[in-house]
Amino acid sequence: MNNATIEKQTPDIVEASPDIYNPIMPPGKGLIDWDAFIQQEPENQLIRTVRAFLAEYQIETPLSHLQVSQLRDIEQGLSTWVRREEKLLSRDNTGIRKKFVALANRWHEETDYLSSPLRITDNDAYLKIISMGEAVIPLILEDLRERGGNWYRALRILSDEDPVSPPVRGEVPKMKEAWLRWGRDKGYIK
Amino acid sequence: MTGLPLPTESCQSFPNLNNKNHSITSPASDNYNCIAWAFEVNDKWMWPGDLDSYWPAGVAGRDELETITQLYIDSGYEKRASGEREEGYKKVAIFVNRDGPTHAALQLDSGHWTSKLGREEDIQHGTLQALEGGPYGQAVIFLRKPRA
Repeated sequence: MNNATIEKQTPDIVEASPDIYNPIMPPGKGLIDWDAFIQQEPENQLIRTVRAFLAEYQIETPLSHLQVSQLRDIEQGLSTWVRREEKLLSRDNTGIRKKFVALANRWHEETDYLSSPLRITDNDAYLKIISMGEAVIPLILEDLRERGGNWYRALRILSDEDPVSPPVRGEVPKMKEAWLRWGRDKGYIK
Repeated sequence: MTGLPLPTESCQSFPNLNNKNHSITSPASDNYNCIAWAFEVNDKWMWPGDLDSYWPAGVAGRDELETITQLYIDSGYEKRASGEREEGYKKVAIFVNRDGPTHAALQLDSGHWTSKLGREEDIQHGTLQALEGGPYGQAVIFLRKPRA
């Protein structure tokens, strides 16, 4: 992928052939005022996607300087890249969630009638969940919120934090709330 | 025994438990476990030496079983040879399996027993044998205390 020639272009939006597909411009539109568009919608999903794409392929042309012809050149690559990223993201998330749910179900089934915290958390399924790493923290917090259970050891190990104050140890509603509040503060859950 | 039994799948964990020898007496709750329930506490998860549990200061023993037994002794219980009902007394039975202590049950006035099954329901069961033979092991420690 070559670096595009820098040539600023700030045309207005014009009608264009609908056959011209461009992943940035609205369908059926041609040239647009890039400066205005970027300034008005800096967080536009497509703008962010294109920026990420340009960064990955080390295209140094500023976004606002891209010309239609240049966009056409990179269109194929951009479309493919976006599809690849979306597929990876959805497959990865789906895979992690599916694996977590299966293990969590098994853990609950095997330990919910136990009282010893060590035996509850030394469970094979529980340890496998921990081995999945930080990515499961939101899923653990969701399960804690929906079903409860002694997820505290897993959360401590994965986060290396402990929001539960010593005086409330054993008071499960307070321990649970401490972790859920921690999760909301960290952005893991809403 | 009146009241509904546990769902079949829950009974399957306990080979001697069936829909005639127990009934549910309280819904599932994370707030307390069997040790607390037998100690007549229902707002703490109790287990010695655990970061996520409550344990009264000064109650200790050489190991988990001795420490849990000491909890009841310190509150006025004394050891007995069996879980047979004794007029004027309530009893606690502590279960163990090969890994150590697993469960505690409290005897009711009727001579039946009440147990909190981990974070699942409380049940009333006619005999200690109803919970033996499975993950809880056997009832091996028996203690009594005069009823108030």
